[in-house]
Amino acid sequence: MIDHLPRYERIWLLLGIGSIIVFLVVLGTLGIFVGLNPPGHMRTIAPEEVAATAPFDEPGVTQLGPNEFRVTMVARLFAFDPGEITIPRGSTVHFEVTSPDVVHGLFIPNTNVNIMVVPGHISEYTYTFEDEGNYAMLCHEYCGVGHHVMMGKLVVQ
Amino acid sequence: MADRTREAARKDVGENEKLKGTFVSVLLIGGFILLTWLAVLLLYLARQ
Repeated sequence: MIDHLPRYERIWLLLGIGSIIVFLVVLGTLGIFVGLNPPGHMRTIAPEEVAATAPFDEPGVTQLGPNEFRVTMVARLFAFDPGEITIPRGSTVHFEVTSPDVVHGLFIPNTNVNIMVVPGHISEYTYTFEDEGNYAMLCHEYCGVGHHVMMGKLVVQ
Repeated sequence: MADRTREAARKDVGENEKLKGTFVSVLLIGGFILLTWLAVLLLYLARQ
């Protein structure tokens, strides 16, 4: 099929196709067998009724097990609710986040928590905090004039 | 071009010579992409 092409062109075509296959196999393996997937957003919610819809009528931290928590969070102009979270070291945290207004983000630097919060959707992500310390929770989707002050704090102790 | 055979392409040394620089440049860019991709993947896995 590519016999008519010059030799160098054939080599780089095969290398290019080969690397795409390698990338996809690595990502597919990590996603299917190791469970490393991007944040989910399959659950939906009416943005104008977030404050009246469970569980977002009572945002906060719920303990599910000895080292397991659920963080139900509302990201709004220009704050996270809850804005400060304290959990013990080694905790697995299931984040569920939604927005009643515009698109926000939830980014925790030095971790893989990097969630886009779209109104109408409930964004979900699970992460285990192995290291102690103070973590910032930042909005990393430009959301308006107060975007730069939209931040919270997560303490792992 | 489509009816050229592999042998015809191999004989066409002049064309291969012209493509050598392009080939090396593409490999350099490809290597850079591969390294940055690996770096990001390893960072992601290290933080998991």
